[in-house]
Amino acid sequence: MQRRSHETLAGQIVAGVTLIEMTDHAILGWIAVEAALKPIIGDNGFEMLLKRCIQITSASHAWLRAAGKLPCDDNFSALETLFLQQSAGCAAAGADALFQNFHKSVCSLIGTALTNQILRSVPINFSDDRAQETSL
Amino acid sequence: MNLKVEINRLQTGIPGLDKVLGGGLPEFSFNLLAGPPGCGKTTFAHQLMFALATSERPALYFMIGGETPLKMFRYQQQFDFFRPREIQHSIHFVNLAMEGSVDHAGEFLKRIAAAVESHKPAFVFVDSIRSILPAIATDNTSANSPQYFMEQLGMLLTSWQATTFLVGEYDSDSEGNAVVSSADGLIWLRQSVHRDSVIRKLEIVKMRGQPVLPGLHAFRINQAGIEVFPPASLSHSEFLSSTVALEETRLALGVPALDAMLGGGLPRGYSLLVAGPSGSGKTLLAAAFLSEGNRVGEGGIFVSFEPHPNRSYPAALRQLIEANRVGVVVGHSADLSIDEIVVLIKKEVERRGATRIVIDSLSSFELAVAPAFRSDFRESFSRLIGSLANLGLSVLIICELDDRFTDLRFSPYGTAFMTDAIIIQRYFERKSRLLRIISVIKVRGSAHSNELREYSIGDNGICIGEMLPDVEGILRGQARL
Repeated sequence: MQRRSHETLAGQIVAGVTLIEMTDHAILGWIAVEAALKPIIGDNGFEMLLKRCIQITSASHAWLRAAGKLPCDDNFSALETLFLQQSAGCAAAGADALFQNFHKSVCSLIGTALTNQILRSVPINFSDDRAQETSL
Repeated sequence: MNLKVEINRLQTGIPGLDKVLGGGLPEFSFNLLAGPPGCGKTTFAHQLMFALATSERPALYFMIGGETPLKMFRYQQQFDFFRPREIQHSIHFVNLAMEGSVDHAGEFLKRIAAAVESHKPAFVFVDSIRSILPAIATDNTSANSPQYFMEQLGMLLTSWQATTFLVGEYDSDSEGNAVVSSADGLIWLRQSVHRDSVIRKLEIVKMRGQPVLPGLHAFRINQAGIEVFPPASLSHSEFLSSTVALEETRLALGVPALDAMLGGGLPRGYSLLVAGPSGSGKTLLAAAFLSEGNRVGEGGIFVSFEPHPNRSYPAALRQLIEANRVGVVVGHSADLSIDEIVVLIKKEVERRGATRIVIDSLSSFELAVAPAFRSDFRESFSRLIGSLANLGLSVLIICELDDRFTDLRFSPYGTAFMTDAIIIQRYFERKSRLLRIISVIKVRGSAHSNELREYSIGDNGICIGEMLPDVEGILRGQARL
């Protein structure tokens, strides 16, 4: 099934996307986020930001805690493995929340306009408030 | 046929900087932007970059050391020049920090070259070069020395025809020799603290291929970004191109009898010092000067250096200001420089097409100028007067002067000789009354009255009376028949 970037990952599951497809979409999203941000904030800067967001998101999606303990690798394989170990709905909700928290975190540092400009090529819907379930 | 290469000069987008640079920034130049921490180097670089970069001629900003990139974005976007839409579009940021890898010249050059090849920038910024050089200086082999690195970097960026700015945290000219010697241009930012004011100054230490304005030039950082205040020009009129000799025409002060005493009004383009004690009607005369200008269609500006400027304005002046017939320039901040005041006045003059200026007053002007600029107040005041005159403006300067009945003075700083005309107002005692006299001391190049005339202040302003030929001792304060 074709991915629709304007939809949340949870929305795609409801629309019939499989767990594997949703996971592929999420990981491609993270690869795009990484490609947009790493040249600017560096490897360490990106890794620290991501780890903090995983920790925050794992307060409501406990299964994500394991990702925070794993070193970030090039292809987000640890995150991918974790997603595939969950049910489709659970993985999609956690993945959405992680994206939203990451986006919110960057926005709080450099503003929404600049964040959206830097992440403009990322095929992920960051703007759905329903997925923002954790206060930063 | 002219076979010399023509150097294109880029407009920097920093107000006042192009004038200091001698017309703009030479294209393809390799520049060092240096100064101590907190003096505005990164802001300077960003403002330049946002002014210069376009999608066809993009900029590449290498970051290493100093502020973290996110913090830099957080603060730089507060300035008006920062446009988020340009980021990673016409302006590309590249983080050069290398975690856990060997920091050596070749590795840095490789990464810079890769980004340059990828983005093909017309402008390159490295912030900060100071963070790279110590990292590569640990290995003293010739292929890894700062000198070698700078040569290679210069060669790379020149061959890519990129106008380059290396931002460096240096405290003095003797530091960073490897960078300084290889740079075509060296822009040094400095700041100093005097009592409660921070003064920022900029110096173009060198700029190959063009004459720059020498010396230190004040600059300010505000919401809009950086603004440089070049010295007021003394060379020629910038705004008025009229070939009519200014002094051949005269303008009325708004007090006809005083105009007659001046020999038919004040020659246009002259500076007039009005000196007198408190309450003698100096501001009232200034108001008449601006009112008369307004009546005959000449714009006016009132420059105040008082902390609460409009408290003591005469009614006529207040009405002109409220009706927006006269502009007001308020010069009161802890770090004010004379060149900044000139720039403020010029802007208002340009905006209004004004030809009459009142400066209220010489004493508060000196107090308003930052302590760092007070030591050369006379020179600066001379520049101010000269520059306003060269703009073709007629200037009335109010000078608060305590009456001293043992000597005849016209200004407290020995500045009277700098003005073209002088009027004094004094008190004297007669039959238990405190009365006032007015006299014209000089009008350069013109005959004028030498009378001491009594005057009064009423609802209609200043009313000039008669001479007191039978009275002696007026200037000593005690008139005798």
